[in-house]
Amino acid sequence: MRTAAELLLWWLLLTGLYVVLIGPLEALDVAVGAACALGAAVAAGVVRRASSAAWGPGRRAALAVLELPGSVLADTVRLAAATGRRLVRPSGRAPGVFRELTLSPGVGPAWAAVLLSASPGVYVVAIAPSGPSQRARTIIVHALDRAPGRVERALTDGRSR
Amino acid sequence: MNAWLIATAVLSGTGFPACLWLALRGAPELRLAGVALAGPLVAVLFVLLAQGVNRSSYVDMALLAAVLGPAGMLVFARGLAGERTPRHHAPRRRAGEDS
Repeated sequence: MRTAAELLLWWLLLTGLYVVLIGPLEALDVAVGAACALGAAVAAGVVRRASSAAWGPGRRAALAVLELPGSVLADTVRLAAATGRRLVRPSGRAPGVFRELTLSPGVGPAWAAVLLSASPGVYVVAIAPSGPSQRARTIIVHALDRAPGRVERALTDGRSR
Repeated sequence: MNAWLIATAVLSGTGFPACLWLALRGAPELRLAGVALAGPLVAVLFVLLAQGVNRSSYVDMALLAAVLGPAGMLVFARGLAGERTPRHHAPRRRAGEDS
């Protein structure tokens, strides 16, 4: 039942993308697209199960999504400033640091990694393993600097090092 | 020539070469800022171009660049992380705690 629901979700997502990206469609186009999306949906489900990937609990997801547009804009400006500084002073210190963030309890590391990496100032490089008794998850990011971004503040309790 | 195309010309003539210049020189960690900025810049360029030539279908390229840019950067940053694997950074477990 769960596998069928996942297959349906993937199929709807992929068919929707096809319709949005290809534009005005005739019946034959829709049939071909839907059939190809079904094959791709089966493959996506198989790959997800093989990698044991799971989205995890979705606490604070809505808040993080709301913060994302502002975060993308702010990070792009900070990145442009860092690039400009590097052009002016090529011998200066390289921008960027590796930081370890502790996600708030109830925040799924998989979707949190996607949202964090969607901003150009932060990229998740690793998710630390944790046992069942460990509620908060730790992730390692490469960030432009030590100042926490909007999405980061929404997903963590301010604990980073 | 309209305002969209002028903006495209300015951005592709100044911003993109600057990113390229940084991305092609120096140690990998020095190239990161240039590569990271080039992603959103290319997406914006495609949007401006689509508006400039009045072809809405060109926006698909911007969408692709916006999605694939961060994905490519993830691979770059992961390679840069080197030995910084989760195992090294995982909090120390207490005796008897499940792995």
